[in-house]
Amino acid sequence: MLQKLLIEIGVEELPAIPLIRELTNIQKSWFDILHANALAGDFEFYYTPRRLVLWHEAFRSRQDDSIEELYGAPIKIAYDQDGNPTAAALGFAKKCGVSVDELGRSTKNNQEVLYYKKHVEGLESVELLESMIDEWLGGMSFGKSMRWADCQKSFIRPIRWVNVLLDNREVELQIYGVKSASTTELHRMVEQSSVVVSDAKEYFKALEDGFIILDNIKRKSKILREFKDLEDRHSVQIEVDQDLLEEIVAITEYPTALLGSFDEKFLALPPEVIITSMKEHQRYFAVYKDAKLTNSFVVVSNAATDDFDQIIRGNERVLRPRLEDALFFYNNDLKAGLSIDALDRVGFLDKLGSLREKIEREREIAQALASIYSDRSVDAKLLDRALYLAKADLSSEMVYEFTELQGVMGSYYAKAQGEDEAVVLGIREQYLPDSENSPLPSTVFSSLVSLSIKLDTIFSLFSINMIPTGSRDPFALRRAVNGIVRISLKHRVEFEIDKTVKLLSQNYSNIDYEKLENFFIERLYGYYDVNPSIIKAVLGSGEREILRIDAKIKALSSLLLSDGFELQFSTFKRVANITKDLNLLSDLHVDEALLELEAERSLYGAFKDCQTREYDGYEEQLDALFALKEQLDNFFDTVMVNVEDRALQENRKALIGSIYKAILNIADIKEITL
Amino acid sequence: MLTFDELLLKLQEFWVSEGCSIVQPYDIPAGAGTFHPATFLRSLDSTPHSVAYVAPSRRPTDGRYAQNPNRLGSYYQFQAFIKPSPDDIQQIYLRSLEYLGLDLSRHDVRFVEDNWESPTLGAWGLGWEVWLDGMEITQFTYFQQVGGISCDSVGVEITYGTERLAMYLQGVESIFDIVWSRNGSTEVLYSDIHKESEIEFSKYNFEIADIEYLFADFDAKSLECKRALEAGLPLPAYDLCMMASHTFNTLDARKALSQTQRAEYILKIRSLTKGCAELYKEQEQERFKRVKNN
Repeated sequence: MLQKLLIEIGVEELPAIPLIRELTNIQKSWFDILHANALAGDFEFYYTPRRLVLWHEAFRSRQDDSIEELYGAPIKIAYDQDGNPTAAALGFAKKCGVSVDELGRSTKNNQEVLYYKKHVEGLESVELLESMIDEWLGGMSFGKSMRWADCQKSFIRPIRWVNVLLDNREVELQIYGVKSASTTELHRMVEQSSVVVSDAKEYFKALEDGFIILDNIKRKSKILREFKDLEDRHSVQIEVDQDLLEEIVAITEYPTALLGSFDEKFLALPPEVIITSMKEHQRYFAVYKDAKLTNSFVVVSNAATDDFDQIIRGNERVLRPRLEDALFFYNNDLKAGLSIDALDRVGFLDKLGSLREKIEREREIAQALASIYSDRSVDAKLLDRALYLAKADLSSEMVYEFTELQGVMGSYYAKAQGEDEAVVLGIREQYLPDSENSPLPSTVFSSLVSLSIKLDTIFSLFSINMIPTGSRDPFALRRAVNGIVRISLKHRVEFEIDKTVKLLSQNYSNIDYEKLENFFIERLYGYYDVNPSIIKAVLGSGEREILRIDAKIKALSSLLLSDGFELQFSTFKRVANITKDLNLLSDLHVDEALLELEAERSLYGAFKDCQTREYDGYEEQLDALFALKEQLDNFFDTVMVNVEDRALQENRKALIGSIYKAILNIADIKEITL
Repeated sequence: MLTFDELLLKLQEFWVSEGCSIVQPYDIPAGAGTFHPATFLRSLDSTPHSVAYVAPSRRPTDGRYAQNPNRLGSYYQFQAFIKPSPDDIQQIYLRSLEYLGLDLSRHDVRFVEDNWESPTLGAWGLGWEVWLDGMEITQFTYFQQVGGISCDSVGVEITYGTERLAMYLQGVESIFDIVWSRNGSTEVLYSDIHKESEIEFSKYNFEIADIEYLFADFDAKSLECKRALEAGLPLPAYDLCMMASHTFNTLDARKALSQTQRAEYILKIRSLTKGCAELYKEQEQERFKRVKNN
């Protein structure tokens, strides 16, 4: 029989971010529990900040009966010489819940053994629900969990009510010390907010009337609809920060978007300051008019009321002192100007001295970079200036208050004191990329600023052997290397992860270069979403320069995807195998006079042609080399390599070896696994 | 309009009606109501405990010479601490706001995630900041650990920012404009009571306090705290610990500590509070007997 099942777990306000992160797992875990209990079926999961809800339109009221096959001891052990059952047989019978006479026989591992086919009667689901729900809640992982009152179990916030309805029947159970009842809680602002519901239909209706929008998608669309409405009515544009929107959806049961405003004088602040202050502290959305920030904001209220006056006014009042503070800090900072004097006293890391010392190291790297990339018209003096000033905003009042504005504030202050545009931009973009999807520095100049800082951090930490292990990477060195790779690719900045790294890190002691190179290489494996053997093959060519590594990986990947590659590949694996014991580093010389057979001559001719052609990229070159397949197959079919005549044998090996070597310049194809 | 003294009285009335004992503010400077032994030490008892009190709080680094309308170096929290935490504590709390005259049907009250941690007290808990139309008016925390000891029976701490509430209820834009009390047609303002102390203490804490004296005082209080602990007296030891903590806060305001030094001093205080908490917990049975048997 199928029944409607509603499970509502009522909680005190759930924190949004951990909840959002766990949503997928929450649903998957219920799915798994259903399967494990032989009760699989479709369900919906809903949440608000105060409830987790599972809804089954058709829930199986009992498990299917099932058959369990049990195997016991081999017959020769189960019965003694006289045919009487031994302890082994008796024990097995007991386990099956029958007498020895009822046991059957079967074959397992070529032995005759005791066997019993047990009929297991399915349980009523109602009996399973308590442990299933317990397991479901217990399996959720939110990072920090808590205990409350004298309950011994912990959850992310206290569980306050449990409501389980099977059709119109209240299922009695106890979860985390809370006894179930067919009662739910409506919005806090509704009078008589506790209501009894007798079935799911009544439940959904009660919530709807009680200012609870259960479905997060509906909450989101209500917010977006109201955004649109505000935009139309006030001819403005609301900047929809997606993360903030998701968070708002998770912390409201009945969202309403409201427009408020603040004093125009605060628009003297950099827009980033206003936006950060509104977003981080108050969860407000920024509002623009003609692409310029206006003195308005949008707040999403959770109130169930039709009078929002006091709420809007209240929110406007909160913002004022925050912006007042910000303006005060901003003006103080502008007056003080950028200075790195105070950074003498700020430690970077115990053994690595002060931030001031870090800046000096970064400047040295920057100068070295400027000379390596001297063809990219980067003004070395300005680059030095940018690095000299880059960290100065860390001692500003504004960055003390809003750490996330580091770099951005520095650029405003640099501009105010008349620094060069490149310096201003370099300061602003010094931390980029600061996350996986973050934008990159927009110019080569900014890139070199960012590279200098990242490289110093990596070298410094490697020099004191603070190398990330496992998931621990407190200084985000992995992200730094990813950043270097991305910057190098975007701005076509050649970067050799062995030579360039060595050259730049001369002044750092105790660096284990093998570890450092491997650290970069590991990140390459993480960076490219390709068959890892392609990367191995490319690195096997000895290539260590990021741009060329990238080009080779792309060429090889597209070759691997092309039709007929598998066939080609088997031929070239053979090439690799034949040349295994050949010294590829030596000069391989093919003597044309010794090419006796047609197959040899045509292969050599085609290969020579290959080698003399000009290619537009590795892919074209690989295509040409792989097109030798026909001649190669013909060669393998008709030419014997290991002949008695040494000279002939060597010459043939040299021919095949040369072909392999040509490919090896790009990648070591024998590493590739399909 | 509710005056500031009425606000404090009403909060006391409300929590008395919820079964709390009103204990008085403690007579040693502290940064927050949590430092009061009625919360910090009592939260470690395994017996039920319900108190509420006004908590004068000193934060030397927050002083602004009475120049900032929203910041004070010394202010008043109101705190309720109830153990074990009642099942309907959120509703009780919301009723307390109504008791102060807030019409909750016209306001947006939110419980916004907040993980509270006090490094000096070796304490942490989970709960929320309560927002009233976007303004934080209360901290709401279920204590999980205190003095490094996991709470067996979990208590809940509710800490109101009384000046913020008063500003909201009275509709004033500066703390100093809060009406403290009314005598007939005469109004006494917050500035009348506290403006001078804000100015003088800001000057003292930021400019005058003698750094050498403060360092010496910190050491003396720490040493004496340890002596009291060795004598098996957690309560006096804890008093000394509170004093050392205030001295540290003044050193902080004087910017006398480097980053590493600061972390080091926090650890020093933490080890003292931890020592007090452990000894207090250890003596629970004997203390219980002493208190109950005559």
